[in-house]
Amino acid sequence: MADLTLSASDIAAAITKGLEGYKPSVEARTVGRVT
Amino acid sequence: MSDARIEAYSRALFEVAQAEGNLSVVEDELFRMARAVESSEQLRATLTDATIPADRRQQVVEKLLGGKASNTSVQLVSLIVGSGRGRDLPAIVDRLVQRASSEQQREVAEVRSAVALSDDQTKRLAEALSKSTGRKLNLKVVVDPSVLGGLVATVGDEVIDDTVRTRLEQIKTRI
Repeated sequence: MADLTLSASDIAAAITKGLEGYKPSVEARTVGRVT
Repeated sequence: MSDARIEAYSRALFEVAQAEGNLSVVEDELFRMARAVESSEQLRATLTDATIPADRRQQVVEKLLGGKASNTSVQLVSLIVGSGRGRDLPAIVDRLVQRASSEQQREVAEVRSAVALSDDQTKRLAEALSKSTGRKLNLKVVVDPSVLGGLVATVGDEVIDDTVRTRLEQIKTRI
């Protein structure tokens, strides 16, 4: 196998493809109140 | 991560790569991956983000290395990232590289160059460094545009710096 080269564009493409369709779930609730 | 855990992970990686019979390939590929994690904020943030499910982080690794690196390297990086140890990948890999080099009675020489070196240049550089340090070396070349030009070589505690960046800094100090 040839020498491994990882360019910035390879990295960006891998992140885009690897996380395709992934949506972070965000939850919010009130846990207290400062008066 | 504690030193003991880094040591344990690097030992495990070493054993697997040796058992698969491709230690020199794996240690080189993992070294390159570790430098990519160090230099890319985006990659580091993705692989260490605990809110992203482990299988998605592993998918990023597979997309990045699949078809380019050996199966063993892909699986080992995937294991570390999936275990939530992505942040420690560079330290684990550096320990693995040291271990693999010691096994061959060699010392790790890390060379940073502004541009990629040809095979011939790498070979001549390895010979020159080996001659000047009097040691057998495992040469690792990292392309680092921040050096601007020239090379900086680190062999153990010894640093041989002939970079344009350092020369410019010296001129700036004199001025």
